[in-house]
Amino acid sequence: MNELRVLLGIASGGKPAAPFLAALAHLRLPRNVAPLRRSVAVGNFVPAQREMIAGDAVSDGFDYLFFVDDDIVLPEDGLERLLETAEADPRTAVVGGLYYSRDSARPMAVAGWSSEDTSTAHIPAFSASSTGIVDGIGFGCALLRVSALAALTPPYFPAHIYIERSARRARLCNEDYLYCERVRMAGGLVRLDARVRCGHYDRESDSTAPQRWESDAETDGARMIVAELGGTRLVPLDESAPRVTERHVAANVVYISVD
Amino acid sequence: MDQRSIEDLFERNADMRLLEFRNTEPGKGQPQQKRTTTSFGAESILAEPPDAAAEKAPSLRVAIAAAPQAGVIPGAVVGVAIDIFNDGNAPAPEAKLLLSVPPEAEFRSGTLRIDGREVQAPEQLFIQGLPIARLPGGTSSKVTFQLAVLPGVNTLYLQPRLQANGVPVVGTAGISIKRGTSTAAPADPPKPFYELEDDEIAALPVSDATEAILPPVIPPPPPAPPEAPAPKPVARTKPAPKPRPERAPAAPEPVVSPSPPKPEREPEPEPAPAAAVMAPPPPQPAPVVPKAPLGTVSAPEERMIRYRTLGGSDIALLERLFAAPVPGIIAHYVMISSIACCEPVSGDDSGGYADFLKRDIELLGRALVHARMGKAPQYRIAQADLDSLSMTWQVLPQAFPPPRRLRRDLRKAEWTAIGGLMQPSERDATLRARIALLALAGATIDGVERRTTDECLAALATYRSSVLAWLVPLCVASAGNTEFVIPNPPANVDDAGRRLVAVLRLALTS
Repeated sequence: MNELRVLLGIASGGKPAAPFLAALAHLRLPRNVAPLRRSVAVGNFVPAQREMIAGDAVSDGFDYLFFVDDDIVLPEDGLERLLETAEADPRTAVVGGLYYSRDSARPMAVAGWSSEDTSTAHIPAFSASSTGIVDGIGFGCALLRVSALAALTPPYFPAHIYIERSARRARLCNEDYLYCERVRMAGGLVRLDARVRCGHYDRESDSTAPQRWESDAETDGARMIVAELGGTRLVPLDESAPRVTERHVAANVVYISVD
Repeated sequence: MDQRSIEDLFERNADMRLLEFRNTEPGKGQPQQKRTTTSFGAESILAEPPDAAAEKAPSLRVAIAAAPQAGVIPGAVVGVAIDIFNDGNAPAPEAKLLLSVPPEAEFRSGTLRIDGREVQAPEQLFIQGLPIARLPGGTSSKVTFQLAVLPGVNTLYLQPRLQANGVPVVGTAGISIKRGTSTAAPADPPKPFYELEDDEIAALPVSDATEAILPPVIPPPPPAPPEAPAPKPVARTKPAPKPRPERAPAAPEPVVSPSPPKPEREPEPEPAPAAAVMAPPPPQPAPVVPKAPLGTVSAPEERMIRYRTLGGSDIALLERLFAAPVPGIIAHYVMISSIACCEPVSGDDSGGYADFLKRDIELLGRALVHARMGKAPQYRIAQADLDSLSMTWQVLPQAFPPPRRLRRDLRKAEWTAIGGLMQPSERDATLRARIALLALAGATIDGVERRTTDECLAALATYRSSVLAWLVPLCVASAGNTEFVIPNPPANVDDAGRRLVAVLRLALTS
């Protein structure tokens, strides 16, 4: 049988975190996988960085693209398990490892997510051994099937700019969830492999999220995040809870590529 | 930070780890403190402080050697020795040693030994891991075996992996055994696996490395006088983009909302630029170095993928043919033509294989009728039939979601070898054609669950190897004999065919 070829894709802000590098050095290569190749794209516009890396994966005929952010602390068996999950079901287009936001507030996976109204989403249920289907996963640690990628029309990664008027803040986001939505529309599946537990290193506090891993009892139901005095909290999903009203306006972004 | 700087960071990390490995060798004093504090949950916190744990702890290391390391040709036997050392001063628990045999090599059964003792289940080394018994501190264990080199063009790469619960393992970069007259790549010092491509490059002759693997290298411009650095001329038709200051985005606050989690794209906090940075100098060209930069991708070897879709009637035909107590030659010929992958990802087959195989199966049906009437089968493949087949190399992307069908990934060298079989030769054209078609046989199956894929994979491999073992010697013996009579296959070939039919029925029609 042919060896699987995996491209390690790192969209970096330019300063790979030391725990990320240390963990990467200990990552185990799965059986039947050729030595990893890598593609790094530096910048501060993640969708375009992912675009460059994805272009490498497609044009060079890799089987899988393994996106790892440069602040993610991978477990040694992370790639083995993600690959096992992807290979188990040929419809799986994306499988992601479990990691939390750097403030440990929430796992980076969504269910019920729609690009038309992101306020409908919630955090899916999972367990320490689950590899279930979700609507989107963060691409901090994600294995993408390249044949699913190649079946799409580039650019592969749309993006949202999230504008919080009251906080006077705008953030670039959702290129991962939007990609997941695209492959779902094309007949692919997105899975969260919660067995793959990654740390998310925070440079500012020199600590790694989550502060503690949630138990199965805490994660076995759909949840949403609510404001609480001084922070946030995850609570069971209440569909009747009021949601933020979003207004969507399409804005043009033009990629100018030079060699 | 430019590309080169990131590359430096990666390499610095590798060097520091190497230093750490050396510092932690017995007799080298206290290990370094962990540099980065983490705040994982309880499951990742050691029960005792790292220093206390390191004073009396096992530490495993694996090394590999092979002989010969270069110049191997098909049929050569390579001896491999893997040493597992416990460099620590406490006993190491049982570990598992894993190794992938390169596709163009074969394990020689009966050669696996652990410290000179034969191993009862050698396949464990290549599947779930060969158990390595508990090693007292300061001792080692040696695993030896032999590989047979198969025809091919690729370097044979061996990298053992050792797994041990709760014990640090120092791995090895592995060893490359090159064909022809090249020399093997060095196995030391230990490097992270993601740097192995550099080792491979180092093992190549300089001209190959630069031409075959590295991207085109732009010669560095001559050094300019320091007081007046000359910017590299840039050919463009539009004004260059206005350089923007490196703005440091504010660290985002936690999302506070009863609504769903807001997207996470938290930019890396960086110090705010000084006012003088508002008008940054034009970007300097990155230094050009004669090695593979981190950000580039060495393309994997191209593969031409071909498929074969089988319907219920195809499977039913195979079932009928293999239901007989002795399936006979024609049943196997039909099987070979049925599993040969001739379809591109989509569209028409421009190579003529689909038509050839369809006609072949029809003619085999007639030959079968003749055989059952007691007549000698009249159908033979002639060289003219083979001449009509195109050998165009065409790489196309795979389909997604993958349809349920057989798949064969061909490397260019394999495709060339198949083309060689199609060329006029003094050997029997029928046998050459059957061997060539068998080389196109599906090696795996798409669009089914992993368990089914594994079963198909094994059945296809067994069938392929058993038929090859039957046909190849006959093909060699047929040279110059226009009336060569092909004897019936041995029983193991029939068994492999029946097994394959059953697996295909399950995989493709359930």
